[in-house]
Amino acid sequence: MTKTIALVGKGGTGKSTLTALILKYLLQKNSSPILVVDADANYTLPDLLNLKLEKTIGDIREELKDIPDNKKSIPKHMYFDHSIQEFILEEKGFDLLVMGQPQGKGCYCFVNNVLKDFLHNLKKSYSFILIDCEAGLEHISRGTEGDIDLMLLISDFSQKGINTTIKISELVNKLRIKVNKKYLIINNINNSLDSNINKFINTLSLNSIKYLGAISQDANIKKYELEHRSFLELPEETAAFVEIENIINKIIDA
Amino acid sequence: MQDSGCRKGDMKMLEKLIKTVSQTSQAVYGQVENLVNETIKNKGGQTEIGFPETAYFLPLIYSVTGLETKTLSDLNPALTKIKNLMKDTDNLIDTLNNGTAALLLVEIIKALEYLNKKIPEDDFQYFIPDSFLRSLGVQLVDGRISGVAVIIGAAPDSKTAVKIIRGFQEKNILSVLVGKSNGTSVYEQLKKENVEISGDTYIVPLGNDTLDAIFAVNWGVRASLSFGGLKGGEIEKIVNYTKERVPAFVLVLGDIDEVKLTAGAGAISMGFPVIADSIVPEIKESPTCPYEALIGETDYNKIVEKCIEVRGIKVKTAKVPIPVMYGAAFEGERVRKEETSLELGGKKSIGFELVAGYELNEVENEKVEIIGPEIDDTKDGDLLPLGIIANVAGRKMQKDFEPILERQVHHLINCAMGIMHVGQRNSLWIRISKEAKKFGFKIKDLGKILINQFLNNFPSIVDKVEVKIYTKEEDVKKLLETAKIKYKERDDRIGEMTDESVEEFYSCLLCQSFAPNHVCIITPERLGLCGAYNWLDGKASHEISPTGPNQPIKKGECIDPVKGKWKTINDAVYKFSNKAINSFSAYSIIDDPMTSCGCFECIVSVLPGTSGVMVVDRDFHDMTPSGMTFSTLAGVVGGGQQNPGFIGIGKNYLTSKKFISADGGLKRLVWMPSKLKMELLFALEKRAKEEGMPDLIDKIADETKAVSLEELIEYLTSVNHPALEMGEMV
Repeated sequence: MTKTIALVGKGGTGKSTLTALILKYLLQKNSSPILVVDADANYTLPDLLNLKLEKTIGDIREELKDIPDNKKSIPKHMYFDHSIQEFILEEKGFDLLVMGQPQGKGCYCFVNNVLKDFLHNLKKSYSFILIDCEAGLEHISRGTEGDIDLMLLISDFSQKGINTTIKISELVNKLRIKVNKKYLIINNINNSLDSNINKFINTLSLNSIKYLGAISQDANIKKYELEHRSFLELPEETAAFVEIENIINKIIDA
Repeated sequence: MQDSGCRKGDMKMLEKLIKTVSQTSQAVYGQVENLVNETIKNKGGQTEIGFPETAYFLPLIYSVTGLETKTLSDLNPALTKIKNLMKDTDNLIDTLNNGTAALLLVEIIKALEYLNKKIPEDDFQYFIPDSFLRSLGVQLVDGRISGVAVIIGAAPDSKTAVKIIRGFQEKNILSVLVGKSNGTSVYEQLKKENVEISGDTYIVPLGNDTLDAIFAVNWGVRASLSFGGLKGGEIEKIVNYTKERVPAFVLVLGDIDEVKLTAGAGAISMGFPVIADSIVPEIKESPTCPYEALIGETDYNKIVEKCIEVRGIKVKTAKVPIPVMYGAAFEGERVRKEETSLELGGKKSIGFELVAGYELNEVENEKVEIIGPEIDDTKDGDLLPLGIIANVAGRKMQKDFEPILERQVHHLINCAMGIMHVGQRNSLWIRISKEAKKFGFKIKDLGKILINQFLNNFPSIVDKVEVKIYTKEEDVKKLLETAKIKYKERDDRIGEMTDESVEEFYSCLLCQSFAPNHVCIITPERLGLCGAYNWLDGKASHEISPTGPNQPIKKGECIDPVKGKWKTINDAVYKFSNKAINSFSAYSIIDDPMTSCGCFECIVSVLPGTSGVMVVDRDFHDMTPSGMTFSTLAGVVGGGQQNPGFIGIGKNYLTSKKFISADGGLKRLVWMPSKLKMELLFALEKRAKEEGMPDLIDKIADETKAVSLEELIEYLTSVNHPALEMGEMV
């Protein structure tokens, strides 16, 4: 059965980087096919994976306004569905869908709504759905992601970051989103074995969130990003990847 | 020992069965009584109990006893009734009652598990909400689902499990998986074999515990309440309903313990026959089952057939002559690029499909021709242009049926395993998987599917079909231009159609198998309330089966053009509703509104205090400003009664010029779920412009603006919604 993993957290915490690393992990575990959804309006995943993006869902939506005359009795959602099917990026072991920047009136809802139905239908063709959510809370609050098996809350190592993360988690509790499990990951720290982190975590009341672990800053990652090389090609021994491997191993049997 | 009609050799086993059921239900009674007392002691009698999203309390208890169990202390009268049902007996009928009692007790156990949050959040469905029941109802009526198999236990090995499930899938029978046997379950067996498990593939995992079978039973009986218009307590009628109209059965795989035996007796008592893969005491007759009630079949090659036979399920078995499996369970799979052998049409090439009507002498029946390269001429990863032209002829074939048949193409081709069909008309894209190619699938097989399905599914309009498939670019380009002219002609014709422009409307009695007094009147501007049937569909359906559920009704003398009342239509409604309804308005929610079966996509309800109406669709589960959820409202609206102030409708009726036009039309709409609004946004905005109020749609509130009536009125006032000025509707 398809498992949905969503990464959420405020901007700049490295959600996209971790999404790419988790993707690398799942591919290595032979858990394909995987559908990756970049739901961040400022999408970066195509860059991090060094893929050439043709169109985002936002682009398709713009085109939708001007459906050619000879197609006007085709229902719009069907036309939209068709267009999305066509512009999914297809790679070895995974496909990528980029939400892009929605514009204009009411479009967030429409795009999110179609995406929601679309993801629901598409889900069954994949073993994993991996969603890199947008920085703000808008997306979650609209329930676009639908049911989520694992929600990974990403934060930097700061009181403010963690507070935002807890807020997101509380918001999720209030909504009708079914989230099976919530985990906290602290990203971008100097040393993942820093005992201060555990002390700090112990002072927090995380309620239903379980602390999963920390991921180190990694020079390799910066280097690959600057050189426009795909994160999927990162060496196995890259510290951040090893850490991801260790903590994700704990929560999924891929 | 009356009514059992069993063989002499089975007598001993049957006696044992009777004894076991009696003892088990007694024992369970004791346990449940203690459990209830203890829970009341801990939590208090006023603590509410119930299942998620249902208007029928504890549905089985409500059905059998009529008791509306809402709190823990309400369980006491229920227990008393259950006790009265039970008898120490050697008689089969009483044994069935003991089985019923056991199921009622199990329903209490599960309700307490929900209360104590002991139902895990995992891949299993557990209680089936009313909304799921309704969507299933539609699929049972239109034949997408032909029956429901409640499978308890596990097959001897996972390969056999797959074989049984594939057998059901091919017959469009929904498999509901419950419980374990020998430490495993069909669910685990299917997972092991990587079988896709979801509602879309006709497999619903219900629960890991044998007792979770109650969720299948209290789903089956609810159909009689929501579609049959029956009330709680009318148990004889309810069982008669499930026996006649709910094509479900139980298949017990693996060892049979006393719990399974007792639950089985309960299932039989509720109208669902039981088939086992072991030797069981056979019950050849029961007043509650159409044929055999309990029967064994030890040959796994025959077990699917046996189930179908015992339940009397009618399956269309027009086997499609292609080398891959075919069935609705395979619809909607995405063939990924890596799995694709050949791609046809799509964005990197061109593709179109066209169904065109011809004279009988112009079509050569069952001929498939491919003009251009076939799949054998290609290698993995190749791309070809594609033009599919199905030429159809029939004595009753009409221009209007071309798009109806063409709309079927998407669904028909998608049902082939390993074939993906996206889009329609001149945005056609097909992928054939490597696996399908390996099985020997050819491009030509696309044509074979269409020929077979058109001839079988539309025998009264289609007498002959030939299919030409073009895979050379110059041909496809040239023919595409001709096809485009056809598409445009059709669009022009559909857009122009109004209720005034036609002589006949269509009745739809499709749901009378569920709701015996309900009739839909389908007009060009008001589609059926299920959302699936529009006027053209009704017309086509009538041509296909002239004595079937869709009959043309001449409008005749108009009594009231504003409300939409015609004498002949009223006469027909009176007749078709079995004399229950004598007058009908097509365009009013207040005066003689249309009745509902229970399959409606949306419910429209008058909201006193706002001078307007709200609409809620069946996917919206939260509270609405009417103070009722969709489920609760559905209880008010369904069952074939006229309820002024409430109608069940298909979504698209909201975007019709005739949407409650007698009562003020779209300007009366004050609240709708945001998702529904977004789905219909373009069409609604167009209608708002036509009404001369381009900003009307923004003024309609949704759940983010208002949930309570007070909030709604405040919002409507703040945006100056036109309904406020229109005066109360009643």
